[in-house]
Amino acid sequence: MTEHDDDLTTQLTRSLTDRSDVMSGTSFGLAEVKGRARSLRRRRMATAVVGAAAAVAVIIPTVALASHTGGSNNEPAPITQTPSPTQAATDDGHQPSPGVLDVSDLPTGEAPSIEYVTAGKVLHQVDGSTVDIPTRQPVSSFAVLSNGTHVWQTADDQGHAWIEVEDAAGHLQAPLPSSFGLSVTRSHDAAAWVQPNGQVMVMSVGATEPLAYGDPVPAGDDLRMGPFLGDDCGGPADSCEVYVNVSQRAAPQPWVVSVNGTEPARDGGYLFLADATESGLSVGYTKLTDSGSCSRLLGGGEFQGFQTCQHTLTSLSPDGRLILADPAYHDGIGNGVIAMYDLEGNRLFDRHSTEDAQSFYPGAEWEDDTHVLAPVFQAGQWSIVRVASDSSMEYAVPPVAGEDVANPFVLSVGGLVLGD
Amino acid sequence: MDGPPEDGTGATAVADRRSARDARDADFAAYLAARQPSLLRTAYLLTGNRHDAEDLVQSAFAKLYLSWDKVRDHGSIDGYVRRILVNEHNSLWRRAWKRREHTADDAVLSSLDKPHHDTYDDGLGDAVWDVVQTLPRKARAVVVLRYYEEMSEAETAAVLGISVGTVKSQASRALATLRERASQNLNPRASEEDDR
Repeated sequence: MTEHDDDLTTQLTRSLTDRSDVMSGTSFGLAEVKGRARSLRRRRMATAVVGAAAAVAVIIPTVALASHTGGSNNEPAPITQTPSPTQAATDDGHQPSPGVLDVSDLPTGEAPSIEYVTAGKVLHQVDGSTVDIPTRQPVSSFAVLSNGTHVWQTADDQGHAWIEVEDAAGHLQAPLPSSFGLSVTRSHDAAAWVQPNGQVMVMSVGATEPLAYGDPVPAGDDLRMGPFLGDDCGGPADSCEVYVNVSQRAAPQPWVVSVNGTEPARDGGYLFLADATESGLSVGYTKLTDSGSCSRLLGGGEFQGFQTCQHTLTSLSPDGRLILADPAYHDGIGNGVIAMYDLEGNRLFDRHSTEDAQSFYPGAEWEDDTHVLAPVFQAGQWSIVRVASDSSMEYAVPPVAGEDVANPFVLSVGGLVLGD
Repeated sequence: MDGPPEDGTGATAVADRRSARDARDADFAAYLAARQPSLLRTAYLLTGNRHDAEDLVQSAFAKLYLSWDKVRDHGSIDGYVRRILVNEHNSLWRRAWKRREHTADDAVLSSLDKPHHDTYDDGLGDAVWDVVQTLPRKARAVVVLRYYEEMSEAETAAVLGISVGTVKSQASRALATLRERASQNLNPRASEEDDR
């Protein structure tokens, strides 16, 4: 460090100390803290004891929302029978109590049937083999296209995201700037991301390199990818839609990008569009408060749709029949609640972490129509847990030691690649 | 004594639990009183305003309260609560909600936050603060932990859950920004040299 740097850091320390002095004394006491703690505990635990019991969410008429884009007659029928259970476990272990997210001693099932990455640099393929990833920085997210192309999203030391495309032959293209988040069509024939300047980029199986798609969305404080709908994106019959959630000061708004233009996606009144299907189903949140949020499913046809303020509806299963949900209030290091709904608003299960377990997961991906995979941290260990729609859980990857802030697992987005 | 005899075992158990809870609360209250002022100052530097700082610290203490027995036994309370504080602050959702809550009153409130400057300060503190407030959230956390809390690079990395290399690069980048954007104020000698 130079003498000039010494002066600079001394001045910085002095200035920060001076500025921090505006906060003097204390602002609250034990009673306020205990009140806040009770509120937190209620949020975490309230429904744990009844989590396994199916509950009907608040059904709201959505006639007023009938202008929702993409409504069609081919939406899936409601589930009428119990979804298939997980595969047989291969060792001992037990299920925690109904409603409890405790992954300390689960049975071990089969390895994930979608690709995943460990330590940001090793790809675990579906056949069990591993391959070193050639990207310059560790992988933070990735999508696999149906022709074997991998779209890697990486994070550098400065906290910036990049996209590196690797074709099936292992040729890696130069990094492109990106915001965090990646989306893939259900057929895995194209992946999309958004650049910090709001320009959506698409890599499709028919292209040799990523192409700019549509006009840019506004470059807000935060850009998050929403769903990517359609087939043959970038081709002559392109009718695809890429949704980007733009958060500008006090005005979160999803935008839709297509070859026809770029415009706010106002149907449904979403503040954040989390997922959608070509058949007209969509989920996202519609209300945010300091203590929670409300999410909505729009059905577009046979289904009335429903709204819940108990959870955040995050994604639709590959067949569009189930909805994965996590806490209505997202705070701190990860999610301590995982739940699943059907399209009529029936809650299939609702598992909550406990004070003893202190488990959490940063996010989950659908493995197939009735199972999700989630990297879960508990008691100094990370594992990939498979959660079935009947609420049973098992290890897809057994626990390994790790830090709570350093999730070693990255699951491919968009679930199973067709043809696998 | 009239009335039924007291069930000594049950009453004692209840009294013991109450006593243990009171002792626990007293323990926590002592920690709260001792550490709240300093955490509020750190939170202020992270958030940039009084209201968010108080909210952040109260939330961190509430989470600490829920885990008090475990954390206290491990003897790492300060590190734990600081980690909660920073993680809460970095939470995307929290940021989104907080942005929505801000109102025009914030401008009035922030005007009350201006510290008293000695005359020799010559606006230097404001210049540095302006730059710090424009840093990306995580870089700002690095700056606050490194140059206000005066943590080592390794300690900062541990609290933020990032590598030491990232701490180094973000601190270096922040200093470069400071040097570039507030150079006249930060290096009075440069001004003198320029004047010659």
